[in-house]
Amino acid sequence: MTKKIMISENAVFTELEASDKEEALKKMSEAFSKNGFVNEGYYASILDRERNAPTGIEAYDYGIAIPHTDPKFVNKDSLSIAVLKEPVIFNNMVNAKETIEVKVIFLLGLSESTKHLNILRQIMELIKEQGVLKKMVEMRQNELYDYLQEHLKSE
Amino acid sequence: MKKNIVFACSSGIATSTVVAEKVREHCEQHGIDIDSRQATVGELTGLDDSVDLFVVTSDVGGGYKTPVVNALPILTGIGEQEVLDHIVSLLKG
Repeated sequence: MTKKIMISENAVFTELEASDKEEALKKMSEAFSKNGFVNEGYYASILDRERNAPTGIEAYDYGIAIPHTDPKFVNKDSLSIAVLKEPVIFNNMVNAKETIEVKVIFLLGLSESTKHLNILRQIMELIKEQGVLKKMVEMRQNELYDYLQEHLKSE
Repeated sequence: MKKNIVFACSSGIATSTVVAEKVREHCEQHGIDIDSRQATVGELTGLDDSVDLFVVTSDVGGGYKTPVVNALPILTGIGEQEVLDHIVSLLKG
């Protein structure tokens, strides 16, 4: 049976206002911790990982980021997505000196590495299709929530 | 003859796996038999010059003797075919 990946409605953000990636990731992490999905080290570890191994990617139409961290900071598998009102700067995954204006953040809170893989694969498959990100950016919050529920499965 | 590829990313398990699956499939279609392993970026120096190709999805710096291919296009789909073909030509060459 295919299980759905856990996406709670409060972790889906549209027109999220943030002046930098730290603020955006904080708001997203807070949605996780409010639900008890991550422990208190999660946010700091996400920032730490982003400093050492950035996750900004230039995709079709928009820059995206896929921050993730060690499974030990996660209690329950979940995904948060944020479409930002104004892009924030991330560093490029394959060229850390380069910056990317990121419009959509996919924050992974997954407790096993195999699940990271599975969800990462699905996110990448989704955004590889030209036009999908553009569509996601234009959705209202409830539409985006439904769209993700429909397209992402946990196994 | 088998070709050896090391797939590397910061964790050695996440993006490199997604990329490895695609590359393996593409190489098979082109009749290239590959042996591959995954590694973290930090392990590449020790593996330099011991394999045919590094395929990476993280910033690995430069100065390797082994050819390095940036596989980000395989994740984003932008220029994916070109990168896959480039990998095949490097392995065949």
